[in-house]
Amino acid sequence: MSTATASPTTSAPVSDAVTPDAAAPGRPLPRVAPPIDVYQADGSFVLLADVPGLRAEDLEITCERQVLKLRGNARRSQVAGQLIHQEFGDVCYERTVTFAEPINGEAISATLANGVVRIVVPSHPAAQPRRIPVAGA
Amino acid sequence: MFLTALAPVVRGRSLAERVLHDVWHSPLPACDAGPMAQANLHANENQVTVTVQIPSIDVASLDCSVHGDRLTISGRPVQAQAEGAPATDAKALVWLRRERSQDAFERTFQLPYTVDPDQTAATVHDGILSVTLHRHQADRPRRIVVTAA
Repeated sequence: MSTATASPTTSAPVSDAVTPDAAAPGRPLPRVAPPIDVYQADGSFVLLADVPGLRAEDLEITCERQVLKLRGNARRSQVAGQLIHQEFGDVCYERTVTFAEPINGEAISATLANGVVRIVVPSHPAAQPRRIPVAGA
Repeated sequence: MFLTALAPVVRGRSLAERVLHDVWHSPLPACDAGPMAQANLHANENQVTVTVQIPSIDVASLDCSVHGDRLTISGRPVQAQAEGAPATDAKALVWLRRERSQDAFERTFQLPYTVDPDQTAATVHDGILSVTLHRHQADRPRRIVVTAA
């Protein structure tokens, strides 16, 4: 179990962990590569990425050949009060994964729930193992 | 298929680096720690709001406790099956990459004033926990009426 303690005070300046005005209009958001898990099941790859604060309408997933890209801007909701301690801010999540075998780009599906995007990437039928019938002589 | 897909990750780093070139050579910041349990605090005179990033944390496992001017939040990660993995032992799954945190977390925040534990609200949206606490009545500043002698 990881444990940490934050001790902000009302007089503390705004943390510079994330540039406070990074979300200013017209200014690009800092780009962050979200951590991912990938496992294989039932002839598909399943990719999970942590993207807290990202809404489904802001998530863009593209696939070209064997390259899958996810991208989206996470903008935090407005919170009442003065910011007295900051560890995260508005960011642009961006991650690219290249598969070593053909994937079925037409059948990719994705869901976003609780800050985690789940992308199911079926292997291309040509990449599926096939049983070769052996005829008797 | 496993051996020909992302298997280079487990076969050898040099091959992995070649196959996943754009991942390893991404210009983006490293994500070793990930966004887990990073927090922001907002406060005004009578209310403080703590927002915590908790992607992949089981909401049912979240525990928030208030003691005086300290807020403690803890939680456990959601199990792989709950994220759609086949109903098999998670250790038996063929994981090709695991970067997301698998650890439980606990954080304690020192609040700017004593809060009323009976006036606390917590919600989760888009993987972000938001806890709003109100300043305890006994801790609020009071105006002292000055009377002329």
